[in-house]
Amino acid sequence: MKQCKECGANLPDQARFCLQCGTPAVDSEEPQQEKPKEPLPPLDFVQPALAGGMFLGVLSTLPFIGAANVCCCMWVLLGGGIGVILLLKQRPSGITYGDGAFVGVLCGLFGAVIGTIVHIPVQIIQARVLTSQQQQIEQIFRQYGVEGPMKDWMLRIVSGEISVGTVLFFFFANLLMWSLFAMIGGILTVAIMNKRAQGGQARPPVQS
Amino acid sequence: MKNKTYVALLAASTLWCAAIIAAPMFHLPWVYALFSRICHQDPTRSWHVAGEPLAVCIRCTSIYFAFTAALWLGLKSSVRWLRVSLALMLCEFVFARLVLDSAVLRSMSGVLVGLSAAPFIRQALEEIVEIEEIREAM
Repeated sequence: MKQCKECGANLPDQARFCLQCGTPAVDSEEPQQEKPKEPLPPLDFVQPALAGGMFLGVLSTLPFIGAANVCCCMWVLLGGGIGVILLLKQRPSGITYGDGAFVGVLCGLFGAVIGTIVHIPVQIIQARVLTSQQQQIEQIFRQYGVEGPMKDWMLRIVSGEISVGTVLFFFFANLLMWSLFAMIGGILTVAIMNKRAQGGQARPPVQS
Repeated sequence: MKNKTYVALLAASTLWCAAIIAAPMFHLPWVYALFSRICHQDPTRSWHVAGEPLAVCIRCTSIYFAFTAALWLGLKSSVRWLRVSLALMLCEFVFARLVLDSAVLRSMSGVLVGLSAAPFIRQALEEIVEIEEIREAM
């Protein structure tokens, strides 16, 4: 296991930067005395990513429950986080930020596919409920002063319109946004969980 | 290569922030549509430019602009700050539901998360690029 020369935190062998302070990681001072290390088993990214993608794809698409995504993309960030937690079970000594980012992006990709598949029946059912309340919804928009392009877009959403164009738009928008945010969720989870996995070392000075 | 990664991330995040402001200024519905996937876009909880709400709410705007500012300022990562800022945002969220929902508090908690998260994202991307370079060299 490496140790950061700057803050003394223990680091996973494959880390290139300190997970705490960002200093480039170097091997320990006596490399000649180290025993030849066994190569680490390769990580299986697919299963954690599928689990994370399933989590974020389904929860983000379900009516009402999916609304929690308005809290800073909560389900998507958590989906990336779940991918990382499952990856950490394969390698409890810790994973790199790169691994966390990669599994996060995969979670977003799987989530976009699953979310689009779930979106179609949900939208059809939702349309039946919402078309009868179209006028009430427009009245609410007027009451809260929702105007301009945003109002047009929101009315289009609640109209329950299903076409190849809207499905493709949802898929690619989800693909882009969810991959990005699940990656961020994965990286931040690595930052938090790796520290915990090491049992809590000396904290670095606040540098920001 | 490290610098290129940094510049690319800086450019992307600056463009992201520019899109948020450009949406109301130039009436770009597709930008609103894109950001609708990650934000509620409630006009009563958003800042306004040219009489139109920004493409994302106050909290999201604060996160993204602070994220970009942290990259421009070259802040270093700190797990402690990341944990504190995430905990504060959670507290602010609960506080807003139970006691006082304030735009200033939403904005402040967003700024803290943006500032503390950006260095980790930069670090991760630089690490990925570095690993790819090593793989290519081998």
